[in-house]
Amino acid sequence: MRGVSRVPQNDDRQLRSAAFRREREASWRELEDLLERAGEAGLQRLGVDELHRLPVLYRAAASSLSVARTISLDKNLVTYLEGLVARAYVRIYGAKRGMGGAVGDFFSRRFPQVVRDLAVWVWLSIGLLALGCVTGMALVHHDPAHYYSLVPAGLAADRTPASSRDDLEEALRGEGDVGELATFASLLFDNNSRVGMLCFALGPAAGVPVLLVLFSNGLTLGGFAGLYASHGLSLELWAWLLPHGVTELLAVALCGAAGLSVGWSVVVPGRSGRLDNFARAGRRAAVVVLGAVAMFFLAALIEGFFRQLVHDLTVRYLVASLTLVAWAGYFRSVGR
Amino acid sequence: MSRTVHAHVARVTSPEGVVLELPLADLGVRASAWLVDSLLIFVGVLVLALGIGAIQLLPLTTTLEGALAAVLFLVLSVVRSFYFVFFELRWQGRTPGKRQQKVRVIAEDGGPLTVEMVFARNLTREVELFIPLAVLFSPEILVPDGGAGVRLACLCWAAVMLSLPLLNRRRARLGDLVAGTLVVAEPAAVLEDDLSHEPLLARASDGTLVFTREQLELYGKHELQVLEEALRRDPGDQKDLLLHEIAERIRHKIGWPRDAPSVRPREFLFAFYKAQRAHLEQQMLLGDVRESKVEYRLGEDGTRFR
Repeated sequence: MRGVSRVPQNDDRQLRSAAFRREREASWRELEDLLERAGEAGLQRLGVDELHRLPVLYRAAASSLSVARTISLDKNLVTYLEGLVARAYVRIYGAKRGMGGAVGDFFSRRFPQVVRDLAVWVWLSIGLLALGCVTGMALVHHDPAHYYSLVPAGLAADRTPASSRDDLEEALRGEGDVGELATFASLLFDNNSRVGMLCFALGPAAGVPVLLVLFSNGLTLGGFAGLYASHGLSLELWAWLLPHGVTELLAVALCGAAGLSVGWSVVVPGRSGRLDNFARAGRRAAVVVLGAVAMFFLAALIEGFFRQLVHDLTVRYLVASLTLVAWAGYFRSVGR
Repeated sequence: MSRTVHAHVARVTSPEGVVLELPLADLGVRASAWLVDSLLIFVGVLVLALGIGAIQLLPLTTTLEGALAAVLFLVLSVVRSFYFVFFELRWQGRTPGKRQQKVRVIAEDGGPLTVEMVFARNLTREVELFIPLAVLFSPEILVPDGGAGVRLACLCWAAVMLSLPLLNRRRARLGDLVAGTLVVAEPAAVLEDDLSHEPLLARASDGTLVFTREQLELYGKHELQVLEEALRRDPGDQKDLLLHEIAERIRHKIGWPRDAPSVRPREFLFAFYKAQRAHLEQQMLLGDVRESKVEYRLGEDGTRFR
């Protein structure tokens, strides 16, 4: 032997980390097994006893992970425990509710509450729409030629200042058969949701484009209304528009409000950082837009089917008023 | 609950105070997951469209037919929008595509993945992708007289949205930023045997494979784990060559006597591994572990060489 110091290794004894693993391995395997059985669906598949075991095993695994990180250099072990704890963590803290419950909670509580929170913006949007409408009507009243710049050709179809009163009246009534109407309604729904999402999308640009979108929407509507007013068909026009229009316009206003609130969050960050504030405003706005999409859906349904079936003006105005009262009540009181 | 994002790992603190290090999912992997999901949606939509077509063939009254068609059309729109929401809620942050790629959506603050987060992150997808796409194909949706200008704007918008994950540390797209979520990879690790239990070590306890303290201070944590990986690989002819080379290198560095009784590379390495790990774990408890190897090597008599 050369003069080299020798330190005996503890060959007969296990490493401390190996002993630790031996002690705890069974509980990790049990947790792994439970997670395997839970599968993707989450915790529903597990029995009551297993559900009681899960948090216990999870905490044990979490503590094992802490210990392993401190005392073990077995990479495979630490990686395994990290994965195991992560998987258990996700299961335990994953989304608690399936879609059905989520939807129910959304409409009965979350949506109306957020709309109430954004009340200022909602009124602003409604105001802008109304202002645009009145302006449009005034412009067309002053000079019918303004109609062409206010109402895009595609939307106007055959309804222009050049049309006769009878033509316009005709346009309000009979359309194709119900099958076509149904398709049309679905397409409308899709398109209107797009407009809604557009307001949401334009929000981050400090909300200014949203103001423009709202106002111009109002102008278009006003132009249309002005045209019909000039022929004395106002009553018929609004009877045609309002049953679904109340819902639809309200939804547009809500989307506008959502966009504006997001824009505001960018301009005025408040206490948290701009990004955090933006994210929070974005989440709220998402709630509003989602609800608005549901409203567009309803409006499309009403427009698609109701319009063909009921022609009586009084009934239509009645329905329109009912929807207005219903929405007002919903947003005022539900989910407080 | 808190979070830090460092390099490509998200450090998330669970409510119990355990710091979980979850690797952020690769963008390529996320794209693949999205493709799989899109394919599934496309197939679903196709089936529904066929269903609508089939309805035309049924002898129903026009009203009923119209109603059915309307319902199917609406389901179509809903499917596209809500596929993601449905699955991410039900499967705790996974869709079939994400499941296949083994990634998952989690909340960035370490808390539960809430319904709103799932809604928000998927709603913005309309804004990020579908609206620009639709407007690209028919600018009239957005601006009635729009043309090239609108198309260009859409291209720019889509380009910005697509590159957003590359520009921030969390690899978040707009939806993730708004919702406060992260997408992490979840590889399932298998627990293998503890290498310090290797049966071959029984032979090593006869005293021939003993290492001095000086010899064990040359290598660090990194090398230990590289050695572990090499030892865990599947046995085969190639493996012995690799092990032989590693053993040689170690012997050279630690000044292992050339006239020592010859041992098979595997036995030597297992013994060295166990000794080295015991040493380093001891150091770790004292808070003084070496990360990687030293520059010098030892001669057979214990002197240091550069």
